[in-house]
Amino acid sequence: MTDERLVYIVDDDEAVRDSTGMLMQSVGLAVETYPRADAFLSAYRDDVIACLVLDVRMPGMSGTELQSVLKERGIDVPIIFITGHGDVPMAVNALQAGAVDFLQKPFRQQELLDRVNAVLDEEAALRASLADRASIQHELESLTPREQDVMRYLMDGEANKVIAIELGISERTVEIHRARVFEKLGVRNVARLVRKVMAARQGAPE
Amino acid sequence: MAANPVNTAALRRAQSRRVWLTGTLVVMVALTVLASALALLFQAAVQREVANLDAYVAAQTTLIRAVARIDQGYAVTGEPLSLPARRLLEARRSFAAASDEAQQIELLVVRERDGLRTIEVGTVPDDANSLRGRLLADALAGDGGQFQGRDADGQWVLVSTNTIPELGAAVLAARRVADFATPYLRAAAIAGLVTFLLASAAAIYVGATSRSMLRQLLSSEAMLRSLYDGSPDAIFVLDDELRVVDCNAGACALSGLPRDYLLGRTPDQAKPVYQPNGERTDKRLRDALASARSGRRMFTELTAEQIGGKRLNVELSVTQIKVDRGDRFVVNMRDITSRKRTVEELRVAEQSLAHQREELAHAARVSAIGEMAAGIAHEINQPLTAVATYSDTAQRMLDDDATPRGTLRDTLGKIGIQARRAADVIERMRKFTRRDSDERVQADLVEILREVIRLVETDCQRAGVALDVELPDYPLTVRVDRVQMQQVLLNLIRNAVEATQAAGSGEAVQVRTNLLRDRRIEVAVDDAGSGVADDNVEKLFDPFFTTKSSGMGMGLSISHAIVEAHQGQLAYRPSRRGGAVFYFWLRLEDTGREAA
Repeated sequence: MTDERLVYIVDDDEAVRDSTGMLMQSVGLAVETYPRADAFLSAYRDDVIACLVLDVRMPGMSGTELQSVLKERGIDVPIIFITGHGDVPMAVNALQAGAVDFLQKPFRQQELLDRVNAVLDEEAALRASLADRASIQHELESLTPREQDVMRYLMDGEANKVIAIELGISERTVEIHRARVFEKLGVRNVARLVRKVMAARQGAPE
Repeated sequence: MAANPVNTAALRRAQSRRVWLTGTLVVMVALTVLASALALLFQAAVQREVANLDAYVAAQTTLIRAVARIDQGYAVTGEPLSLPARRLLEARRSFAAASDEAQQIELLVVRERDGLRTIEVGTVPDDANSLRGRLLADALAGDGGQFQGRDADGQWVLVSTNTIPELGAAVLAARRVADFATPYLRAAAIAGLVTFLLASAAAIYVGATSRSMLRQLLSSEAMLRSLYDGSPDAIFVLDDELRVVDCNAGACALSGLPRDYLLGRTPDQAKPVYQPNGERTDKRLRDALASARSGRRMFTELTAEQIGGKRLNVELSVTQIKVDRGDRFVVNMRDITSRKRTVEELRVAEQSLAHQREELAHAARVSAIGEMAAGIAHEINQPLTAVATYSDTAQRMLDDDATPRGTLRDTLGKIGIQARRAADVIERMRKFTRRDSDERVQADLVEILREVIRLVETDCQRAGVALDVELPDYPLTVRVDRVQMQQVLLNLIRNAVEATQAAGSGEAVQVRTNLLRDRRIEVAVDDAGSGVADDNVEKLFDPFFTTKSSGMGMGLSISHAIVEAHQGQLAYRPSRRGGAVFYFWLRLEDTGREAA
């Protein structure tokens, strides 16, 4: 575990890849660029504070396909999607699947830099928080019994609908509890939730 | 038949009459000749008989004179003659018995004084009023000679007399014609009968033969007549002076005039007087007639006017025929107004179809552009994004004094490259939508394929379908309209990509070129879609046939038309991978060297 910050850029368009890389480097970020999703997958390391700038449309494995592959493999790297014109439905899907952000080409460069920095900061903060077991424990204790029930189901990967039936409450109520759990534990998605809870139970990860 | 009927019965009667008349004439002539011959022969026989009689009479005269000289005292009244005289008479009697008796030749010696008296021989006329009596009297009076006439029995007799004045006597010899004429009469009767029989047989034969000829003629005439009358064409028969001598029902229908009016008219009265090209109608007709006269059958088109002013397009041809009374011209006129109109309508329809096809092709291109808008926007956004990013980076570099000038220059250079890339995308799009009519140029099919593949790459990426393209490294020179050929390829590849995407097989769309026989090049687009249902194979290239929910059904139809317009062929076959292969071939241009 280092404090090194790395931006992965995966885009099939050489000019976009090259210019985005130069932009990142110009503000002192380390950059690795890949033209294809599979090249990125084989090069990915989880020992750095990383962020993935990913093009949605690519030959071979597309950006959204890569997203689901990462999820399957339990790789929790924050993704900022870059897309061309008019892929709103795709953007919505990507965000629902846990992407942190979504920019449409041609994007404003400062905006991309801000997002990347924000994500990396958040990532660094997460890493730090995972090390603080007492604070996690404290956060877990702040959950109501109902919220704890919901959390357990979430960690098992159950959908809201299933949880609602299991607990005999409405789906809407499950959503409210879930939002509270995420808020209290300071996580954005189930994967993070799992990582945080596991860290508290087993000691520091890695 | 109604226009000019042939009276079969009258014709038959006339024919029959002619046959019998001829027969009778032949018989009469034959008989006349025969009768003349017989008459001449008979006359000769009569003359011969008369000569015989004369000779006989002369001989008897000499004999009687001799008897009278011998016996001066000879008396007619039964007194005995002297011996020499008796002998002479006996000799004459035996001569008569031998030659004359059978012919009943009479010999008379008459003494004037005693009136008429017979001496012994022959038949004595009863009175002086009978033929012989009169002739004897005349002879005694010194008026002898030959005579013909009827005797008391009504028999025709030849008579010869001679006078012996010194004795006061006359000699008369007569012969009945009937006695020697019988063989002639019999011969005449037999010859007449034979002639009559032969002439009758000939007449019957000729009659029968000509009847069968007549029958054939009549049936052939009836057949031709029905063709003539039943023909939808107008047929005029003109004589030497170009007057109408006959015309059929079609002619009446075409001209709108009754047959009676048309008969006897000449082309001078043809309407309209002038053809659309200003030429006189009758001159055109006369030209056609002149051409027929020189043995050429000329087909010509002209405008004819019906009674009532309706104008018709007519095809005219003239044939010359020889008849017994000089030349005839058969003028055949066919109403081709509706044929011409149909041809003209077809031509117009074809033109408008070609026009519509061009419109449709344009519409389809525009529609394709619409569908591709997202992809093209993406393609333009790529360089634009790069431009913006390089430019931002360059500004940051300017702010950082440590940046080497070279790096800054490189970055600015990259901005230029990306700007041109964006311009290229726009240029490609402009080329694609430009509405050119067929502009055939020599072009490299490989280059066209590359252009199209660059255009569809974005689509392929969006669809997540890979393109597997194998192109030769040498040019394939064809003569094509670049834009149209791009459209065909674009269409085929986009269809293939869509089909492959829909099937979700994850396989690539293959684009291949193959050299075929006869200097043809085939381009095949092989997709990994779900193929074409058997029922739909035949309809693939029909306009507006589509299996896509959003398709117009024009793509393949237009592509097919374009390839055909390039003398090529576009077709479908099932792919080995289960999808569809759309392939077409074009002829390679002869560039003076082999392509392969």
